Amino acid sequence: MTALDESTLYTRSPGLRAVDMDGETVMMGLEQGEYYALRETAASLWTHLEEPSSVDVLCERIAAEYEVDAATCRPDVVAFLTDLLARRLIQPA
Amino acid sequence: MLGYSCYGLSVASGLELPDLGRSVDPGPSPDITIVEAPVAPRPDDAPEVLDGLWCLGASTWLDVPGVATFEVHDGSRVTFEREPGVADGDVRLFLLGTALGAIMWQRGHLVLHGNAFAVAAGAAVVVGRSGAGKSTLAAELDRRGHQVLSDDVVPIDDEGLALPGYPRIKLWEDAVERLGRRTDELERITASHAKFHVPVSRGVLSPVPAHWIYVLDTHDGTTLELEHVSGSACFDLLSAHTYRRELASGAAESWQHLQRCAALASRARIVRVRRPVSTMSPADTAEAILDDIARHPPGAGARDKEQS
Repeated sequence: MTALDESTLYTRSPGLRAVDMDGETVMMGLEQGEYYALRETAASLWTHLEEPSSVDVLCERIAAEYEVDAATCRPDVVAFLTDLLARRLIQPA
Repeated sequence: MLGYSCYGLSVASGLELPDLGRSVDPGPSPDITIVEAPVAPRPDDAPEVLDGLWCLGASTWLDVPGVATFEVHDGSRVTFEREPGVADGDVRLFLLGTALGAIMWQRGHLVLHGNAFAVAAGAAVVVGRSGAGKSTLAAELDRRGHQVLSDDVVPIDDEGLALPGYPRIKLWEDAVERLGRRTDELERITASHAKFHVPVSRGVLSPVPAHWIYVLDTHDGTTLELEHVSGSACFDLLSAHTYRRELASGAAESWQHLQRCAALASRARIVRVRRPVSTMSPADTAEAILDDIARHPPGAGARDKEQS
């Protein structure tokens, strides 16, 4: 599995489509042929990944939105990005 | 050619289709034409999306060994070629099921696997796996005077309207007897299937807004439970209960299907209904659903979502 490089900017892979499903995000990979449900912080991170973003920037944004400090949410953000990367849903910008 | 109407469309058919009511003059330009003729071999590169079902471009092929081969084309034409000695009823079973279902897919509708019935304020769709009790419930709702709009296949158009199908419900023998109707009064669907047509009254023929979706299931508990479903879980349910979901065979079709599910989820209230597996009371289930409909009139769900 490709390791997440925390100094790299990441962005969404091409060929992904997302739709609002009754307040949550459902995303599908046209190439991957899979569906993913994104809720709350995951949906928020996905929104921010429209622009190439570093782990630092993403943590700051989540910290601002969810009343948590950036250091506290960092392990969860890294885990989520690692998962997205493994599923080829994000790529280095 | 004989003329019928189904799903709001005019049908010209070379095969008699009594399920669709009394035949009329099909007129000069029917929406759907059904002909019995040799079916050209399907292209080798057409992928088999489901057992006996192939899709390529504007065509879908259905091969039912021992019965017939069907080609469904461009949402407007069904050609079928039956094997020697096959009775009309056996052809009709697949023609009115999968073939017409494929027509509805090709016409760009979200095709749900279930029944729809009308109430004063719109339509409710009942979906659920085979054996969950959908048809028995539909027969109960019909008995209570609710117009059954469609049985087994419910196409929903881009405006969220349920398209009325044809006036009959398929029931297994035990379910017919549970409702107190005698099976010898009903027409058997085919000689080999112990399923019966229960004719239902036909009133509404125009499309009706689908405001409620009920997902019928059983559970081990002793009470009937209703649970409102929201968010991405709506997609899991709508997708699981899409009629011949595999007909969305490519990436582009899957994306369209996802968008159609999202559009319906934004309009309709989706509720999971779990009835005790040990008891079978269509009356209780019907009452619970009608009560839920009365307590959640159209638009209430959308208002709740805006406020939250």
